[in-house]
Amino acid sequence: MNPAENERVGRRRRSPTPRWTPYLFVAPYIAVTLAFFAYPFAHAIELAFYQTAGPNARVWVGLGNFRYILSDPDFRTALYNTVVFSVFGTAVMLPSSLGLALVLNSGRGRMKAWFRLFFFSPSVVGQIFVGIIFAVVLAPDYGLLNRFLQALVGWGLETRWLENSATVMPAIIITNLWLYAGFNMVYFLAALQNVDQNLVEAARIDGAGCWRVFRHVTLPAIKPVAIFVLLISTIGSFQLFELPYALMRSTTSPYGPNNSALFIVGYLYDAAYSIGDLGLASAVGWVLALIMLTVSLIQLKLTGAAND
Amino acid sequence: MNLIHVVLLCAAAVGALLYAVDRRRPLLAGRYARLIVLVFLAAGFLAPFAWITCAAFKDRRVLLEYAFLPPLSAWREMINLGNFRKLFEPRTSLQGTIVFWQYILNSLFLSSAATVIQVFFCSLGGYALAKFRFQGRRNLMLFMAGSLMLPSMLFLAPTYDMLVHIGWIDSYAALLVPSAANAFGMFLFRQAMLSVPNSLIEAARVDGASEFHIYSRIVMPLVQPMTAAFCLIVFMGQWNAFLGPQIYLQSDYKLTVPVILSQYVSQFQEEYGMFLAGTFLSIVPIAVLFLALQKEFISELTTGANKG
Amino acid sequence: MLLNFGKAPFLILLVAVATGIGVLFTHSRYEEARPDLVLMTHAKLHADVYLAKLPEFERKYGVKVDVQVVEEVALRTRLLAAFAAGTRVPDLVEIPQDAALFLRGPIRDIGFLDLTKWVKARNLEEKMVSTRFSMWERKGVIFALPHDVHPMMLAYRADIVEDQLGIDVSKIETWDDFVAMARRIVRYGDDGRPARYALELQNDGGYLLQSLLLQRDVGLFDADGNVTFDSDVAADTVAWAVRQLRGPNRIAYGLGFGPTLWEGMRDGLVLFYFAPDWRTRTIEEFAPSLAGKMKLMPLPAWTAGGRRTSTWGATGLAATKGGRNPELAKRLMEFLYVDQADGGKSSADLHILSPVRAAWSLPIFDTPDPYFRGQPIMRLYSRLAGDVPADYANPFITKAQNKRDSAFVAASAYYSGHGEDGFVEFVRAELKRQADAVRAVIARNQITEQ
Repeated sequence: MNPAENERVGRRRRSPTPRWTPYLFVAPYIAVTLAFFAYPFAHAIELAFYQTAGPNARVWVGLGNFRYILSDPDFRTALYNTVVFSVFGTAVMLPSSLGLALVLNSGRGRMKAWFRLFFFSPSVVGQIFVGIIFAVVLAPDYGLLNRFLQALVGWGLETRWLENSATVMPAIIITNLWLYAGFNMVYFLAALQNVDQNLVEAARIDGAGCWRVFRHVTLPAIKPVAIFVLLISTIGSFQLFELPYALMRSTTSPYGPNNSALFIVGYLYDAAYSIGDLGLASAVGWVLALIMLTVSLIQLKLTGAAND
Repeated sequence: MNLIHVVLLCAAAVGALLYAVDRRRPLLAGRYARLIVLVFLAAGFLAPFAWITCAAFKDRRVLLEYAFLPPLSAWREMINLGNFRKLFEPRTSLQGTIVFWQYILNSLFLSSAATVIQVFFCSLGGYALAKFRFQGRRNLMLFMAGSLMLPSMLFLAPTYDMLVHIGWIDSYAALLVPSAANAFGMFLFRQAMLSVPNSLIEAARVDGASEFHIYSRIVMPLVQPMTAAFCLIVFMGQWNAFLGPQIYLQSDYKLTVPVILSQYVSQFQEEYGMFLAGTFLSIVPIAVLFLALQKEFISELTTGANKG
Repeated sequence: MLLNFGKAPFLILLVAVATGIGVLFTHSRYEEARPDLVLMTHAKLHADVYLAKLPEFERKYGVKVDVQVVEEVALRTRLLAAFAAGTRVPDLVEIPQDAALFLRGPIRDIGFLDLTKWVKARNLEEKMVSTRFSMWERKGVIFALPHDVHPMMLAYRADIVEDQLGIDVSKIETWDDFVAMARRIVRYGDDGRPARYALELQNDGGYLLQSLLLQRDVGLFDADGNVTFDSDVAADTVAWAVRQLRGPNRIAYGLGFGPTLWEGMRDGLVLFYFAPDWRTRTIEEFAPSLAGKMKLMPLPAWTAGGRRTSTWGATGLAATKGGRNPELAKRLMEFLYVDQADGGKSSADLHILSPVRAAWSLPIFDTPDPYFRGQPIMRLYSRLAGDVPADYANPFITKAQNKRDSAFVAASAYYSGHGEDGFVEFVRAELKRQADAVRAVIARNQITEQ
């Protein structure tokens, strides 16, 4: 944000333009928001206090939905899985995409552009396609990944990624990594261009090794971007739904064995489409919104980015 | 000992050889090592694409029999266009016979219309946010940032309910209008427009140009890379969108490519051949668009991130 | 002015205009087609058979009937949405048993026609296997006509089991016999030869566990809607299945569904497969190279002389309240499901035995099937059909499946870690815990069910 600059425009303006011009420009957003956000927003609040069944039946339950969610072990499972995914997913995602960017960055010209394209290409495929395709790629005995593992290290052909509660999460994280590592890499590549090469040279001359240069010169320079990527991957992680939904749709347990692939949004979807209670689903949505807001604020505070 | 090991050993041998031959320039060896790492990583990222392509042309009965392609001698019976032929077979529906082209047409229309609409309205709003200082601007931006933190699933049921009441179920308006002007796009355009020099705008105002004229003739030409990047983001998002079309659309002939393809693989149907052929086709338009716009896309993505 | 935005948006605008015209033009064409009756089904195979049968019905009543295939999840969401929104619905819907969400809420809000009176008036409960009505029955109201009985047998690789290993499957009468036989022929693949397992089971419980449970009359619910999957018999069955999958003498292997299943079947990784009638059709379609190598045998019983079959899956045909011609719709239901005017041909084509008892003796079912080494497979199924266990409808069926399977997965994990030590007690406690969770969900939702 750059308020100072805008201030200047405002002050200097000789005001040939009417005051309502900017409102006209944001009018479409305000209109669409009033029409398609205000009502659903209010309705989502209202619904959270009801229990519903079918198109017409509903009963006021007060805070009952929230009490139920907080006491439901399935919700705790969903919350746990979501937190595990966002922590480990991000912990794998950030270094991988940064690593890709670092390896690419030292290269030049056309080759760099090609590899950048290769790494980025998975993110053009929709989650629903990726989910269904990876269910086959991850299949035991005949899947691409297991065949590769077997050929490389002589082990892993029978690994049942999606049928074992312990391996479902790694499978989802791997798939997610394939999908988005290239996307995040692009952010880091740009950040690396901003690293002051003179500083790097100076550090080298002072006898600093690769790691120290990275730690003391590169890392501080790319910190804002790292925070940005951290924030968007966390928000994305908490909303994860289509990918596990598509991965699991060919198995008979849509939320993974023993609910090991049940995430908060999946729990919400289940409340709406398996229990058939839209009230409960709304309440879950609000709990999720609260969690996401809290986590984002904490991250901004901890990383000191709030004052930017 | 198999192919993968041979390849790895050869790569290592080449690296060692280079190192031995040119001891005084270890950097050269390092560069080759880096290239080898990149090639392997790229192979990993591209393997699923190779698999999809092979699988789309394989007879569905040998989908998993070979990791990629069967030996050349078996091509005659195993490699064919059967999956595509089946995909394009007419299917019956509530409203008559439908051929797959219809879904491609629908998807193309929805994606391009969404792109045009969003580019226009988001850039309008972004312009106001970047270049005007008006009452309520700060609050509006705070509200927009907050709305990005709310999980979209939360509004699924209430929005559905609302669309029912205004009669937009089974209409493309339900997919195009609510997102016509959105916070995400407006922020992106605002970010890009901040760097448009105010002097240009001021000069035009002195010349008596209308604000819309300034927006369309002066500002928009200067943020063309951002516009191109945003086009790709919106088009990609809408092309791959699954949940919205799946829930809001009813008539078979209005459905989109991801919705119809996902129907081919489920508990009750396992038309992986058709699904993969369709996936293969659905990647094509996105890939074309991406190749055409990747330069702008990547550079804009990166400047956006750097500004944080 | 348009080019001020850049080339990309301009080109996309051109695409939008062109495709927009195309969409307007093509979509108006569809809206003209208006058949008298529309039947929506989740099964492509059913649709093919109905399309062949329909001309006769259309001639008889002078109407036009359309059949539409929609994937099950999509069918469920769209139909629920259409019921809620009051948009146009198909006249008839073929629904699988799992689509129980339609039965949620007060009876009067359910979007399907109440068929109870009609079924009684037409004497259909006597004509057809009465327990098959129970899958779409809610509080005594019948919402659908049953499509099938789905008796279950075991399909096996006869070329390996009989020719190669010389096993006489007619000697196998109980699961104990089966396990004893299986232990002699399994290989775990650690001796360098490819692995070979005897029985197909799912690692996550699922339909195959459900079939084993149903064989012993353990459904998820009883006729009154009580949760019943935590009985001692249920615990015994779950423990048995876990031992076969995870024990030191394991004989079962989970191939999953989809492409891996067909590969495993072709490679002989697993020799015996659960095969309700419909699955023989799928096997023939997806494993064509095994023609003449497969055979069927009745399910081994749990006790000598016990039930030698079970069931898996069920489809029903329901008419919607929003349909335009309910009388004609009912006539079509009877035509497709009850009449056997074609001498059972459609039944035989689909490999799905009709629940109409009179149809079981039709001569067409004596036709030998070369794929199964000339066994008259439909005749074999029809002999078992009378013995198929009952299964009961409940709106909370998906929740119950999820909980039962969770218990199964937990039991597997316990067995892998602790072995037999306290295993049976653990299974019992876990099933009880999960059943109680389902009971809690049902109890919580009682207030909106009234």
